Amino acid sequence: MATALETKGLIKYFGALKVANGVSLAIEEGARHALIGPNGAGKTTFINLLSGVLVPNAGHVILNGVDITKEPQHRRVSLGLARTFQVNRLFPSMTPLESVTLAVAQRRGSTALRWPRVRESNDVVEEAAEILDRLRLLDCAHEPSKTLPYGRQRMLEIALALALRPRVLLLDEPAAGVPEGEAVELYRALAELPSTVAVLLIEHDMDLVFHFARRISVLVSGSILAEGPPEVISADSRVREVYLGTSAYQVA
Amino acid sequence: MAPETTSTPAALAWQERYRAESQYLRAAASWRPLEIVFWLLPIAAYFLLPHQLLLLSRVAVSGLFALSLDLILGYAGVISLGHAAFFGLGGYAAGLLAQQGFGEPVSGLVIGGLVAAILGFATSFLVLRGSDLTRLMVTLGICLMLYEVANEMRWLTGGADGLQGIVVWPVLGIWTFDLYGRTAYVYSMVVLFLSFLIVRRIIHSPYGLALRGIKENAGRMHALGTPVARRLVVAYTIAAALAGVAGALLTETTQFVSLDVLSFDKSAEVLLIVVLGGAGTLYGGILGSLALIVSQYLLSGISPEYWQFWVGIAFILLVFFARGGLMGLGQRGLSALQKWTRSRVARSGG
Repeated sequence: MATALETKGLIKYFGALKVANGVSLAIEEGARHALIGPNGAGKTTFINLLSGVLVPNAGHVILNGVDITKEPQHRRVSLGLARTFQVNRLFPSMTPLESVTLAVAQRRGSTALRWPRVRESNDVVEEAAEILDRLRLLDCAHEPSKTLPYGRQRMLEIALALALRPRVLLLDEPAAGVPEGEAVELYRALAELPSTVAVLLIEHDMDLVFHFARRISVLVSGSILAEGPPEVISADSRVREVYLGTSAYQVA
Repeated sequence: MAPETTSTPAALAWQERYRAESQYLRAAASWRPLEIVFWLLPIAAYFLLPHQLLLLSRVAVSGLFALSLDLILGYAGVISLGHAAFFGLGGYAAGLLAQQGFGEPVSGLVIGGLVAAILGFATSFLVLRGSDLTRLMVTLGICLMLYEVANEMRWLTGGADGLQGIVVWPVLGIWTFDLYGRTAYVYSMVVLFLSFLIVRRIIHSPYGLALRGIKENAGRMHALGTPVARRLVVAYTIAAALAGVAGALLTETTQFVSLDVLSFDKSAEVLLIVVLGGAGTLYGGILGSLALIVSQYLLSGISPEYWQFWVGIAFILLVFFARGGLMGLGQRGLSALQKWTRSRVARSGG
């Protein structure tokens, strides 16, 4: 299998603090890859380096064989790299339908100023409706996003990313803050992600990680401590040691 | 996934399922009855208020100026305290052209808008960096500089005395600007309406949706793949052009232009008008202009010395008790009225 997204020796300093210490990671096409690690391990920094919010001090980010280390965020998106955010970053007074329509229109390259064609804009809205339907958000398509329950806002985060039809999708703690009752929906949405999309999941919820991931990398103090399939990771003594403070996780 | 043809049964079922949603954007862009009534009012005013046409032309000019600010402030979320730079530049461009012997009004508008657009495009790169506070300072600074330049170049602009000797030709070679302001009124209203149509179309396009997205959450727009800066440069340039057209319109309808058009007061006034009328509502700028200019006119008749005092009180009350300005007030009133009539109907029905 070919590599969809790859980092080579990523290094990032915040002042004297080294938050990424030579991270090298390869994500296969169609992968279900999870990145775990204790608080402060540098997971969010790593996602910001991948998506272009931060520029590394050294190292490379390669997307489908193209070096994107120096590309700005919006270029990376058009090259097929989408992300969601740990804390909801939606468009508060826009409805889910408007938000996803915006994302679809952006992917199709029609948010630049030009005379819109009615037929084409209908297609855009229909595609947006179809994505909302897939994530079971169609019934609240016309309510302002800020009025939705938190769990549904998380789903809208994912809908926005899916509307971009990415080749690689970065999910930054999708389960964060989702109440237990609404988690089922989220698990199902993640299970139904298109199999062609390579997914990198960053998550604290170990249930979700071991449900979802077919490969796990463990990030500790800015470098990869271990990598492998879930059963190998859960048996790894170094990983257990890192998590010992919070009691080691057992896969049934 | 969107089907390519509309003929297969699957595709038809698919379209049926999302019909309500797919109509949505078009429904949002369609004209409401109240909007049509709104645009019939200026026609009625022509016949009913023949002695107030000069005042109402000022409302039209100010409404166009406010509309241009609303595009960047209300929709794209870019705040400016120097929007008069474009208004004044457009005004002087049209004025100088007419003074130098070419008083054709429509070309005056075009050139006023064009010159302002060039300044808007050039300064957009300064303005669009940084936070709201930086934007306030940079826009204010640019406008102050322009004011001083116009003041210094007395040989060209007439300085504080204003530009003398502007002669504007009849509109389209037919309608001469008359003493009662009939031509000025119809001309300004038509220009306002045409500009309004353009802005309305922009707002309801995917581009307009992108501007709203930028206002709501620019960071997220980057993550959707939108080149945010490029979108804002275009919006800022269009807003500058429209402000330039408004300035040119003022010069042509009053056959005069002075440093006032570049003053800080002018920038602050238009910002107040947009907030008063309701930012991001398309009609707010026009309503705000009408309210401000008419109340100025009425209050200065009642208490010539203290009218600003009353306007000040009105502003404070509006900001505290009517969020969303006059448009917000009107919308809440309308929905309350609808609820009331619905409950009446329900009661009488059963």
